[in-house]
Amino acid sequence: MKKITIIYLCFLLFHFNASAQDAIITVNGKVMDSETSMPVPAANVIERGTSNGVMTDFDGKFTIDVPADAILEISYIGFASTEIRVDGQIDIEISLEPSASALDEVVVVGYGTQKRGSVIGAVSQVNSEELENRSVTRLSEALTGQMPGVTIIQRSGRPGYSAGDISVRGVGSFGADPSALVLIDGIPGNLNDVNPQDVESVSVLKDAATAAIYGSRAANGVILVTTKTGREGEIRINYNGYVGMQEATELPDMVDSWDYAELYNEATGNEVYSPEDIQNYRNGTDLDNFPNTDFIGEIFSKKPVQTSHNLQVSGGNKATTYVVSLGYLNQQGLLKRNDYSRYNLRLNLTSKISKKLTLTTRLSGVNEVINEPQPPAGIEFSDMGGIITQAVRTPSNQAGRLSNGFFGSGHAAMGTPIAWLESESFYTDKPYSVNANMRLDWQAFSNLKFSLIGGYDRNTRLQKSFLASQQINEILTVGPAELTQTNDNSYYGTVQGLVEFDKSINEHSINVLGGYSFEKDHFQTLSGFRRLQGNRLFELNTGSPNGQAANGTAREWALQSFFGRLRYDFANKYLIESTMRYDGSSRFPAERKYGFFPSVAVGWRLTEEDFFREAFPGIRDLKLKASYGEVGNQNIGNYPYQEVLSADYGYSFGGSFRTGVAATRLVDPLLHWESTTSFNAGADISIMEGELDFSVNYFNRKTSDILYQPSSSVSMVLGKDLSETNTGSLRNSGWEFSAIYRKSFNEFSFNIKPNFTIIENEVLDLGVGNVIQPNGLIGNGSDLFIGHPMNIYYGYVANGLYVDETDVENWADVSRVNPNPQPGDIKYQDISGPDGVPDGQVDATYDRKVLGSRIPKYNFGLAMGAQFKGFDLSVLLQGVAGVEGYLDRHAGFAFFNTASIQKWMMEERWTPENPNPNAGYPRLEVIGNSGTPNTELSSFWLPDASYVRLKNVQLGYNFPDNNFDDGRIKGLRLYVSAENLYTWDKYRTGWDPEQNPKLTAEESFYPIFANYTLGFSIDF
Amino acid sequence: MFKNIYSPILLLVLIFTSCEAELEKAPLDQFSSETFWQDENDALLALTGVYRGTMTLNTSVNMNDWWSYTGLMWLDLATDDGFDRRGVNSPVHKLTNGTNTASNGFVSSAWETSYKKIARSNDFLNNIQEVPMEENKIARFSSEVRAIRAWQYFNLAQYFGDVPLVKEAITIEEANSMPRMPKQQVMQFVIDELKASVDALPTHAELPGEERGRLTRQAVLSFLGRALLAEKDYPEAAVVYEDIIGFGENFIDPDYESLFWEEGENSDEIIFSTQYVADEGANAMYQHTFPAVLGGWHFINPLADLVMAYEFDDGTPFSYTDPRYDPANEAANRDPRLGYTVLFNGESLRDTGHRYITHPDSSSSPDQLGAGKQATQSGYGIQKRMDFNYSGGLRNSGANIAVVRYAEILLSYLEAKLEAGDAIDQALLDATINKVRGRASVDMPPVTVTDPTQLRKVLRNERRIELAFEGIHYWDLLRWETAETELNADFYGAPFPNATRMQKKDGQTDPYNRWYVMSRNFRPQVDYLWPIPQTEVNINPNLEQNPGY
Repeated sequence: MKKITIIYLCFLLFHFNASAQDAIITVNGKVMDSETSMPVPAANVIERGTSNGVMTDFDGKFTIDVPADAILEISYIGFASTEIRVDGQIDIEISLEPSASALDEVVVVGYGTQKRGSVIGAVSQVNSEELENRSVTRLSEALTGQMPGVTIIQRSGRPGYSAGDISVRGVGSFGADPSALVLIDGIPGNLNDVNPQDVESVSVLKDAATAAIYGSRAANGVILVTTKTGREGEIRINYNGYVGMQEATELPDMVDSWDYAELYNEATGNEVYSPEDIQNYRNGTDLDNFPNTDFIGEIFSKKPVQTSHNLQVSGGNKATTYVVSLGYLNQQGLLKRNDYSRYNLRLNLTSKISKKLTLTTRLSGVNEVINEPQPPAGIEFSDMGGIITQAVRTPSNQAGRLSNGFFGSGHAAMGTPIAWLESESFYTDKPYSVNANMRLDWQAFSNLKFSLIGGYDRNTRLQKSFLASQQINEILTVGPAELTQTNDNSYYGTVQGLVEFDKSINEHSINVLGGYSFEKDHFQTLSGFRRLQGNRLFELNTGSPNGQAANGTAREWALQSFFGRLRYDFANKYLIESTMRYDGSSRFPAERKYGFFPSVAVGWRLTEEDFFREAFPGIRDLKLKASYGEVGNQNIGNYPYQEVLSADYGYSFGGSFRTGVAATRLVDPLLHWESTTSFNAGADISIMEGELDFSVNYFNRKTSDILYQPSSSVSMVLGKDLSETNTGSLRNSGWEFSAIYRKSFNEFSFNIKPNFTIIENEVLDLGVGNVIQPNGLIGNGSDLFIGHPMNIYYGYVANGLYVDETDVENWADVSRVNPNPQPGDIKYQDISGPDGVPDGQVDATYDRKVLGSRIPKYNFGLAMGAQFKGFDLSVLLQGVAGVEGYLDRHAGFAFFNTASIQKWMMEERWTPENPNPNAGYPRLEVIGNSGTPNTELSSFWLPDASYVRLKNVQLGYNFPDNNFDDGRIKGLRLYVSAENLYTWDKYRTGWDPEQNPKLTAEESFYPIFANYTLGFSIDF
Repeated sequence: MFKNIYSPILLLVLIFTSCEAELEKAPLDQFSSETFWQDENDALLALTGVYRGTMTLNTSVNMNDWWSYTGLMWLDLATDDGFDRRGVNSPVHKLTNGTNTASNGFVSSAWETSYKKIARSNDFLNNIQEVPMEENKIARFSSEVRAIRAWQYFNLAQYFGDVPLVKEAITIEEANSMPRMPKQQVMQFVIDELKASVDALPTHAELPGEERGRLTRQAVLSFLGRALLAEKDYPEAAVVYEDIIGFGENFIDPDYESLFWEEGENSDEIIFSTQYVADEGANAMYQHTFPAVLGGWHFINPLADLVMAYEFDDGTPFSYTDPRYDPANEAANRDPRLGYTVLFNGESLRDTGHRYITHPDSSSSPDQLGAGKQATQSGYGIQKRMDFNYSGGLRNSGANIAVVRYAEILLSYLEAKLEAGDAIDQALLDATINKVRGRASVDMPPVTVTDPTQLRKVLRNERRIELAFEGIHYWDLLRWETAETELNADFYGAPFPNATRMQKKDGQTDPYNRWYVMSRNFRPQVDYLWPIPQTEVNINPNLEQNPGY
């Protein structure tokens, strides 16, 4: 009850401050460009300290109801923001000074907006103009490289899936999921679901000062997506569409069958393929018996098409503004029968119910359809990923198609990827999501506002997986056909209340926000399985109840929060801001449910000081800022502290299967939040008359009480798995630099926006996991060690390859790793021994070290734009450095588990004829799925995965207005665009360094795309 | 004015008070430990969970339970009987090829899954006493779990030697500091527990059909017999085996071949078997063991050494120089069990219409030897337990897998009598080994030697061929301490006299034109014990490593 009392007192306090009320008047105004005296359309006009605002129309005109003593803030990109006191005037003309300064930009922050100039936390924002016309299917791709401190890596190009790995200022936990919190108009959501064309801005809150208002889920940054809202004025219709071709950025390049045969002989040391066989492969006349099949080429049909159509209608009058948008995206996949469609519908409606009441309604629906081919039933893979993985694996001397129309049997007598792709199997995944989000703002007084927000999300997902029976050839038929149908449903609801108070007295400005939020989520799933009678009907009822199965489960979580923010500035010179959040989560035990997350930030605008301005007249704006705070993370399972018996341990007696239960994990009944303390210090500077803005930030995030399952630190003698416990700490520290340079000469203007980030990731402590390894490293002995980054590669140091027998004899004893070292094998370095010095013996205990990390240390982006007359060109370069890649299994090793061999391995291999100690691939050998001594993880297999990528190039032309005399068409733009156009890297041929895929049994790879599109945008 | 402001406050207060209770959430699809153990049904659910243990019901190739097919059959791939298709770097092969290390995944799986089953048993025993149910049922359930737990310790002690002995729920700190208990004391615990478990259990005949698969007196006594043989307490072992025989409820099945198929799974020869049911609780053995032509992964590759162990059908030892030997038809004129156990080049696979063709020159066959296919490594395949007429999914077999057969009891009884130094007479031979080899479908001439040294040789060979690929031979080689001689050799596969492609040892053609498979190099000072997993030694400084690792 104490909390309630405090809130109540706050309310009372606001009331007394707010008791003076002013008369409301209607202001008609016009906004013009001071240099050209042309009207400025679409400028923002906002009553200061409120959300009451309108946009100017085509003629730069606006109408707004405000108190007679209100202050209007007028802002537009490219112009310096201006404030004007209404002072009872009802007709106002405002001139905007052109400005290139980004300091005037409006930045979306937690539960509100701020001007860039007064932001003292670390926030990066990308606005619609940087996202528009990008021919990407996912919003996350459009964000890549645009913001310092935000690392986005596409691990897969699989249409319709994977928003990529997004991390803000490093990977913040080795326990709980370190993903950023994504909020779409204030409601947690999925970046993939948003139509990039609907987005007004994407803002990333990176430090505790800005993120702490989201408390328990903000430890790894908060991504705020704001969708467009309508503007007052006549109806505007925009159509934007493109069509383009896609291709894989890289595809593995496999050897021809005759090379395969020769290399296989070399690998075995036997004449498995006789010279006649090899000649037959070369001749290519008996393709049934001596084929040369390009599995990769056949699986990935070339250059699929991608199209997108977007229609947006907006407009409104004084009472109501609206945006209605319809989006359609279709992306064909690289495989047959693989495509992705997304239908977006959005209505954003702002209704002025009365002078004091505004209702904002945002309704959106997303309907996606993903189609994928699948292999037939009865083989060891059941999804498209398996087909791709096998295409990488299957050697070219396996027959794909036979001359009699059937297919080759493949290495496991189950067919090959080519046959499977022709099967009648299919997979469809149809996620539907409906989101309703309403916000009622009550401007009780000119400086006091109450808001009530209600949000509801409903997600349904229908998945149908049909595995057909298929006749591979005369002797081989696989099956029987089977169908699995799954239905997921989730419901999310939230109710939030906000109160905001804003007051300026002389040079003191104060802004207070208080709020309450409750969120609840329920997920349930149901699936059914039956074997079907052939490949004709695809509903469960058509199958046999014999062997049918049904599965289902459900889970829930809830979160209750109180939060507040206090901002104060003196003369816009000294700024201070403090936020706090008090969160209660269902994921923690009763006595530890609540967590408190405070933060404070201070800023000093030196350019507001007279002495500074006199001393440095060239500096237009300089702000120093620092912040410190604590944020939390609770991204773990829903019931981590409760001791349960799982019902997954059934067993059969007497020929029938019985349910069985077991308690298999040890829980920590005192579990609580993972928390991150975050320090940020930075400076924003604007010089050269606003042509150059520069920002630098240092950050230091320390995550403690990490929610980690320390299984590898506890002896297996315990006999149980461990649930999460709070243990260990981690640091992400580094620097962010970003700059904007803009310049225009008459009709030519250009801008350059570089950004650069250095992130140092270091494990500080593992708590119960602090196991001292014999080699002195402290950690779990495999992938986490104190003093090193996360996601490391831990292995041997390779010192080239043995040249000959003498080399083998003279080298250290490697028998513990490689019992029979041969010329052409990898030379493992003797690093240390039991006495801390090399002992002449290479072994797993003393001779492995941390070789690198999968997390890039350096991230950079460079956006450049130029306009000349109606033409515009934009180029985005993006890259990472300080990262190692690792290709294993079929992707990295030749002849791995009956797999093929890639051309680079052939070309770079060590041979007795050319015993190059620095060859790129060791002597050839046949490798079983347990590997060989050469496939032990060593520095030999870790190519530098740094790259620089030409992420996007776009050339557009805007037809001049006078082309459209009838006035019906208000604007027309044509553009050509390319994504992932070119990459500079030192990675393995055939593999994209960004993906850095691992072909483990669980993980398959899907190439990422480059695309080339042609589009146009037309306004009515 | 004030009235206007109250309403939002009131609303917030209302929301808050109603939401606080929503923060208490309990799992929706799992039982809470606090409210479990209410009645017999709960106890049965938990008992079922103990039987299931860590067994995986899909394609896992790891050792996941001593009673799974991986636990039972894979170990024989480290012996002179077979070879693991995954090659010389397979963790199973490394157990005996002289390169085993403390990071061997098979070894750490065995360690981990044993202790998981032990922890689950300890939980059960800790709770069962308080459950309101009939005393005799509590006694029966507890006995089953104690025997299951003892069986884990039996295996741990056999392969690791001294191991931590955990009898109750322990804390993380205890787990991380527990020392190894001497093997002898662990084995004493095993023997005591098994003895204490017998009486509360039903006999083989008393066990109702719907409970088949649960432990019986005969099953627990069989384990006790193995434990006593391992401890070389032969007189005591003989008594235990006499008990089992004395029940008169188990028999030698006349049909050797189908005994291992689903149709034979309820034979009274089978004393205990792991239970599988298609769809819900199936095994994937066929996926791993079928030949490539049927879509299998051919894990099991019998060696010529095993094939040679089968006598000619008149009971004389096999020889390549004997005129009855036909390289194109090795099963001819031999102990019929050879044909029931090993699959030969050119054989028809029952009614499937497929033939098993392994010849190194048969490039169109998926089972071709030596061409890098996912196929045989020796030219032989396994026939035993393989019902090639099976037409369901290869990972969906409901065939039970026998753990203990009555044949083992009879052979072990004879071994116990022999090693105890008791007089051996023809009557004893006829009641034991000759019953086994004399079953209708085998019908081998009776053994008549009674000289202990000679009989030992005959008996050990009989055990090897009768129980091939049933998870016994590797253990036998260790406890007989013959591994150092048997597993220090070059191993060959099938003969292919006219093949153009042959794998040869150092370029030397084998005198019998057999395919060279690999060599084993068993280290007597090291390989009789497995290493304690390296990660365990790192975590717990009190766990001393076995010598040589």
